[in-house]
Amino acid sequence: MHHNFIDEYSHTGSFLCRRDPRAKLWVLGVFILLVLLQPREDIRGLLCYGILLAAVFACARLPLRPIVVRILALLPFVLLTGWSMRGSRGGGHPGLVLAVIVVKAVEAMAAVFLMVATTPFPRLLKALEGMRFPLIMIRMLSFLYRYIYLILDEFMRMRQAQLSRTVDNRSSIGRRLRVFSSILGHLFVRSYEKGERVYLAMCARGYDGTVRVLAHPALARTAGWADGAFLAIALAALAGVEALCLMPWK
Amino acid sequence: MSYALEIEHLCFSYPDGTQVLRDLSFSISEDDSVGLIGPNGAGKTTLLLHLNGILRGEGKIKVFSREISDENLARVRRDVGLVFQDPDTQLFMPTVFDDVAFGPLNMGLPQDQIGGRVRQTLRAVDMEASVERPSHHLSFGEKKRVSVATVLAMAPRLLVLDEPTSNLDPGHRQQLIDILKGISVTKLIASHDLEMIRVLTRQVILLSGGRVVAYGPTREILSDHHLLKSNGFFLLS
Repeated sequence: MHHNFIDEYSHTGSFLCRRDPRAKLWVLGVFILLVLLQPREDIRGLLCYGILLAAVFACARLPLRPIVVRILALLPFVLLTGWSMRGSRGGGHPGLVLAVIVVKAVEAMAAVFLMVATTPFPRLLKALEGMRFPLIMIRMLSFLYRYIYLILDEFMRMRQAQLSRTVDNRSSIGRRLRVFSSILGHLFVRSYEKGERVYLAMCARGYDGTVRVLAHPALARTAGWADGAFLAIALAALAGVEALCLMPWK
Repeated sequence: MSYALEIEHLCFSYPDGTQVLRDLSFSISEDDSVGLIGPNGAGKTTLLLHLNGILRGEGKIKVFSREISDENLARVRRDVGLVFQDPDTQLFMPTVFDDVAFGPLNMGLPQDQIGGRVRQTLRAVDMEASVERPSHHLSFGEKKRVSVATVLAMAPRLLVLDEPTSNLDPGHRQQLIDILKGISVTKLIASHDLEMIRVLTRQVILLSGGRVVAYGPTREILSDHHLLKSNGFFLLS
């Protein structure tokens, strides 16, 4: 079985795929910060950022469906958080406050999706290493990337084995749930054991608790003019939107 | 004669009380190649995990005349390269390059030599073209070869392989055997693949029930059908 849902769109060759991941991470960080700092009762700035995001999205030649599915999956949590914050101090129209929270979250999620979808995951991890992210976090993400496909394979194999032995398709929902939860339990135990074995394999190759990585050349030394131009134009665009929001609108 | 490995009275039980190794004693000379055979549950993998100090049973284990202890564990793990049976256990980094570089980085090899060492090792197992590929996109045969490379990159003096040819199709199996044949360090290979053991090793240890049942020249042991049959090997011819 061959999955590739993480790196599915990162080799499309669009201009965003070709940029240095570190430049993209800087822009992403600034973008999310500016979106989160928007006033709680003013949606105009968020609209501008939304238009900017849509423009970049269109240029990156990404399909719309996967991002919509992912955002819809996370939306209930956002709505719950927004609902719990509607009456917090500062007042304002509860509907507008909720709308602003939801739009902020959706824009931040869309930006993260753009980043992850246009960067092969190993390069993203290398960029995080280069930007001095905590190594333990990067190692956790790297294990997730390496083993998520294996765990999914394992799940599918167990499900197929279960279906091969299922004769009566009319079993009750309760029984199906019991079988499903048993598969999940086995999956957890097997993943745990796999983790133990991987740790032993790491020890066998000299791992002593210290994560060691290859040093990265600085962004300024390796980035081409295109990366520099991307960084400058993106930051200028964000500054432009912010200036537009600060101006009094009539 | 200098020894790569000396084991004296090694005993080991798992925490649930199952005794796996019972008073095991043998030694392997430097530059020898030794096969380790025995039925499932004989204790082969458990024994291999002792050779670089991952498991620590009772008894004495010396690697290149150095007894394994907490103080020299790093040195022992540099000398003994252990390739696990399941390549998905052996390959845990996102890309082939990162995986092969993992050992040399832990050994403290200078940063400017890592890239060269990784490429040179991958060339030796005919995988240089896959250096930037994610490990989970490799075929099973490719994963096995990269697994060997991850250990070769550390330039071990004793190469220990657990079931290197298991689940390989005949073509990939032969390719791996040819690669292993070309590696000139002391080797200890645990396997059920008697044909591969015949081709790659000079001596064979037959392990059964956690004990060494026989240790001698490969040709002698593998032609003793009575001995093999009484220890769970049913030969076709």
